[in-house]
Amino acid sequence: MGTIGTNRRRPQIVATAVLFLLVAMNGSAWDEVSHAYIVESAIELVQDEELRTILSEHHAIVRFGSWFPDWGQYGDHPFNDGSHREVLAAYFDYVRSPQARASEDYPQLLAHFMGAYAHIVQDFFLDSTIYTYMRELDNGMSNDMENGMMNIRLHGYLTLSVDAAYAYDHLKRVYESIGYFDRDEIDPAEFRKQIDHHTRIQFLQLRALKLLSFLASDYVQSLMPWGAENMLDAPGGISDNARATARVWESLWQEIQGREAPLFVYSLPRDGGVIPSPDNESMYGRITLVATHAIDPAKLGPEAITLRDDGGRRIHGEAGVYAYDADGYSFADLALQFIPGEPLEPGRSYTLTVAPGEYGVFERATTEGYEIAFSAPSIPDTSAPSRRFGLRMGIFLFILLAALGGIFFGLPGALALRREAVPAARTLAVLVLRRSIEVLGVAVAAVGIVMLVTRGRAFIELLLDIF
Amino acid sequence: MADFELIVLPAIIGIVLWLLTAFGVLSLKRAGRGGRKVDRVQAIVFSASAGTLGGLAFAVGAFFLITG
Repeated sequence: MGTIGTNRRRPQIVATAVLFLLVAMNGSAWDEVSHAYIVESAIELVQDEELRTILSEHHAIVRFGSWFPDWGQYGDHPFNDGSHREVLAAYFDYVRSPQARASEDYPQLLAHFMGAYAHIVQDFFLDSTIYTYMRELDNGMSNDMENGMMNIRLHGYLTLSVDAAYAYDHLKRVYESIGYFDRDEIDPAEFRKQIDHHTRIQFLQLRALKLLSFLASDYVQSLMPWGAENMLDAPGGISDNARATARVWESLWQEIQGREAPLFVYSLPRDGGVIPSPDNESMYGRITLVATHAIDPAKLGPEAITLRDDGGRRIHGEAGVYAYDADGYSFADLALQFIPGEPLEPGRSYTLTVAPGEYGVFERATTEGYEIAFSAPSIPDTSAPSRRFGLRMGIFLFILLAALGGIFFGLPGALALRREAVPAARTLAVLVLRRSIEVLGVAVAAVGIVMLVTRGRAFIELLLDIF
Repeated sequence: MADFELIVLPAIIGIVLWLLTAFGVLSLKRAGRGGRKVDRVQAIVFSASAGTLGGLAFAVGAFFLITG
């Protein structure tokens, strides 16, 4: 019988030393804090009362579940992004199994699963929409760390906390079912220890990101003014992700209960809505469909997706699955896209149709057809007010470095006063050592002054370059 | 979530730095008007700096405590 337990945290001093060197949010398109916020918002949008009740009662587990897919991506990296889909597909099979259903903690297990599944929905939907669009507009700056730094402070997530809660026994069976123990990626005997260790690193990284967000997010905002202004409500942004998550949950819930469920549950543009851009070369000019299960692009024939304008003319284009991971791990994902072969005409209406068929990696990914109608806008407004880059990081670094320099500079004098009663050894070596320490102190303090004057820009850019 | 690394460790560093502050202040007090002026000035800088850095360490710990 599986249990949802509380994660045990062990002191790891070494982890602190490397905390800021590990802060890269590799593999998580949203930082974990934003994932947690989005699932919390999504719960309120669930229309099925029974599901909403389960998720609301166990919202802390849903929240932590949204971190789950990234647990193996930190420290010594046993997993990569490609494992997201594989593990989550197996997790879905498991929550529908008689063994899981018979467990006492099934509602908690379900809450954890839904949180975890929300993570991949959000990653794929974000990356295939606003994430890439921000790169188009904001000097290509947008990446996981920068988005996280920006979101956390901008949208008030600084105090959002998450408690670890794992269904260890259940998860062990999930990994067992897809052969992870055979591939030496996880040691079955050390499973709980391993998952706790990686989760701890995950917590440390996210807290470091919160501190960086507090100190330096205004710099990122000044570099990505459109993203800072629109991340919450723009197409594919935080609110849109919450809606997509709720729709995927409802579809999964129907399947778990043995009912027929739609494969495609959300789209950008929405049915009856407006595509964000008529420019077919822009990410916002693509039509993105969110699927409940991974779509296999190899199964998309030439007639699988058709786009027609209001005059009935077919607009040819390219249909595919957004490559979430540039390394090629995600050959099949949840974001199906159609790229029109020509710019859409502002003011015209269009209809996109997905023909009935089986397009998934797994048999369950079939659809009886899907259709959305939308119109094309004029050129979208990409203007955004410029944002000021503040002093927080500069002041922080100044205090840190100036005080450190002051300690070095003042140490010889403080020691000399203590030795007043003892004849000092005024050898050349002692004098050279004393002057060296003093010069070092002055130099460190001088760097602190430079950081104050430049508002810590060089340090922030170094962090952004490294990660 | 009172984590060792992010809350207790900064507090320990803060305490050590404030002990260094006390060391500098006691050195000054012990020397009184004795000792070289440059040494007294350096001892004042040392105490003030250690105190400030200790305060910063406490502030970082408090940040993690508050933000969770």
